[in-house]
Amino acid sequence: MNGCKMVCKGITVFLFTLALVTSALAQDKGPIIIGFMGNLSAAPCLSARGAAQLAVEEMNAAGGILGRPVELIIEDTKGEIPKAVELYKKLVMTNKVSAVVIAEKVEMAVAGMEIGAELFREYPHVMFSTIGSGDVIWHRVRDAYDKYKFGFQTYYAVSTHYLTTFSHLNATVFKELAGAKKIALVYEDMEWTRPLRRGLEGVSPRLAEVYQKDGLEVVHETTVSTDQKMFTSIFEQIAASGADAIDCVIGYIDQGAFIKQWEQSSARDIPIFIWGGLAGMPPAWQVTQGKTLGVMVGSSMTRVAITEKTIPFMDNLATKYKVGPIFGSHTTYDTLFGLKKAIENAGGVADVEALIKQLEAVEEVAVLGTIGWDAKLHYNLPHPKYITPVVQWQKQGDQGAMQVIFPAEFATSKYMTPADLRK
Amino acid sequence: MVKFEFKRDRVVFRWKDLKYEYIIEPRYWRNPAIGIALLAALPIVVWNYPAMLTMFTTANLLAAITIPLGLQLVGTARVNFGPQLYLGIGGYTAALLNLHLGWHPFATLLATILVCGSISLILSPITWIAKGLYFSLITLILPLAFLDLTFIYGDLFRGEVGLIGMSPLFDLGRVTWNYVSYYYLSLMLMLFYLLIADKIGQSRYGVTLASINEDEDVAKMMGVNVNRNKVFYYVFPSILIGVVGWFIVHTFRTFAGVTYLPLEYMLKVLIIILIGGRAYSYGAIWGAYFVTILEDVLRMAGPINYVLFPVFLILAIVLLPRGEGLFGLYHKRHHRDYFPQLKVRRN
Repeated sequence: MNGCKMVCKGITVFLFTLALVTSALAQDKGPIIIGFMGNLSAAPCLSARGAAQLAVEEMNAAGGILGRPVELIIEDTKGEIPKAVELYKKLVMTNKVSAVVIAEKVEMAVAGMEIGAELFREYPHVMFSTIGSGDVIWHRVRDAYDKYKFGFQTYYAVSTHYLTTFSHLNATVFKELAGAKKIALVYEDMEWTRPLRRGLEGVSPRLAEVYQKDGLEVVHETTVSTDQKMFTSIFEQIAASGADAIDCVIGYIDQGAFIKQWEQSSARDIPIFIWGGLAGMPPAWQVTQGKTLGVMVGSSMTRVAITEKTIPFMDNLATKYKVGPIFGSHTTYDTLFGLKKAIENAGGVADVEALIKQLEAVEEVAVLGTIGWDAKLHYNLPHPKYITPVVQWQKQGDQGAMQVIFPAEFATSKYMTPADLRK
Repeated sequence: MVKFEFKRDRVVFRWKDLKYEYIIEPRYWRNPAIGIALLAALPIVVWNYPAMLTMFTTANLLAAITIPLGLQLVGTARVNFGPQLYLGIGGYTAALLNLHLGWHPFATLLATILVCGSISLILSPITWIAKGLYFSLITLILPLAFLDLTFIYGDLFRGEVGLIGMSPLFDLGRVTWNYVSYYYLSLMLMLFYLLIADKIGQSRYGVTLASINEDEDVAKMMGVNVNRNKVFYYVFPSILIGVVGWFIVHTFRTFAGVTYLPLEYMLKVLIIILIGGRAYSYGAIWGAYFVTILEDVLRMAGPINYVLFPVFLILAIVLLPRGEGLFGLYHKRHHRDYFPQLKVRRN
């Protein structure tokens, strides 16, 4: 009887050990699973999904990460927070992903980050927000590092970057290219523009003050609502204010109407710069029936080789996944390659604390320069590491084309005034 | 002295002039008992899939919005196209008080009830002055106007990002246990609302409700204080919907108006009413689970789900018995069984 008990105990111990070893081996040798969440009815999310698929395909073609294949699980949030919360849990708890990429509006990323913080204790993982420029992600990392250290943000620029980095670059564009001394500011009433309108305590004064310090006199300032359609009166006021340039901190308003009304107003000869959105996308020319001629905009959608990865990325994304490289795609693709390098440096995904440390230190060649994240605040390293060129819509035959006018090393054309371009 | 009377189908308690009846005949309690048992057993079935628990929690919350809306629909004899206004008011009240003043979730619950009650009371005269399409349009605009306010007063409501980091109702130490407990809480909330709707439907207030729904003028002639009732049936369900907002705040711990206030969210709630069966309180549960599960299943079909989902919903609305929905189908085969039913005008 004792012998029988001993055998049973032995078998139990053996099976238990076997289970542990198998599980450990599976974790070390199985695929590295990455979760992707986005609203798959929205163009930026579809583009980001294609970019994530392309990145994983290229990684697997090159032997995976540390010899392990990479698996991408794609989930559609439908743009709803409850669904996003549900899918985040599914990816982390059921699919056991090592990283979640949320390529969607910032509120989804924030909701995911809250759930992620809850799960992190028991299900260590990392999270990336690759669409959405709001400051809320890195604010949480700054304010409660231990709780939110798993969260990273990759975007062309977060609002803080706009204030601390891009504002100075824009001032250079206005002063040196457009010869402006007086400037009018137009903001859209959204969360991402709030730091620019109000400033960030301990980080930067508001945008108008930054421009004043950079030698530009702000002669007009206004905020438009996101559903506003009539802008003519605003442009007339700007024209009357004597502004030499218009800086439009907008990305989500009806830019078709905005640009058309600028072109038909008394302000049509005043150089205009738009921070992002439709104006920086190829369809802008058709949508505005060519009225976008002369508009300057920050855009990554022009064919200029910032690194050796830029052009192949744009071509492969369009040919293999039938989507254009619109905003969110570069950041998603670059994030995954930054993650790959960090995993390699950390020796795998088993030790998430080590992976986080590596993410805080990693730098990797990216489509738009170099991808890496701030060690303490977890937003991606801004210009000059990660570059968004300033382009101007100029004529190319009968059609319009976005020509890079800044920074000088990537310029494909020279700045021209709207009036000269219309001649 | 309490007197008990045991009858064939019920137990009657009498105390002074008061009388309480409890139905004991199986056809009255068997179906609810089976339904509750099935819903209570759900976490055991999906234990290894915690995300599904969240999906069912969402279904419970959708049903918890739909049940009071059904009550309001009948009690005011008007179709409210914007009940999510109170979801927003309740959610933002709880979130703001919790974030800025550090109020405990139970304190924010009381505040939510108070604020939703006050605002709905102020707005309740619209049930007197507008009806039909005009009432629907007014109620449609209110949540959209509130959504605009969340952007205009972005310092307070945080615009498109919403409010984040509210304290949870509780923390049991393990995330799975938390999610299971949230599921049960949402289930209890939904069942509590169902019980309220059932009790109102069975009581003399249910008769009042039906008379207002049938014809307000006739109801007045019968001595029903129509205006007072309409205020009650506008305010009370609004508070119940506001409490769902409170629940969302302390379980999902984020709250953004852009998710809950737009028309899309309302359409889902209205479709749940139609598919579940607008005359049946239980129909809200069937409808909510049907829509939630269908949406999740169709997601597997890829981007085409954005076409398939509305097509399936339209088919369901067209093919199911008009006004009786999914629950009507079941009821036709089990017509002797008792189900809580709101007396809805059929024309």
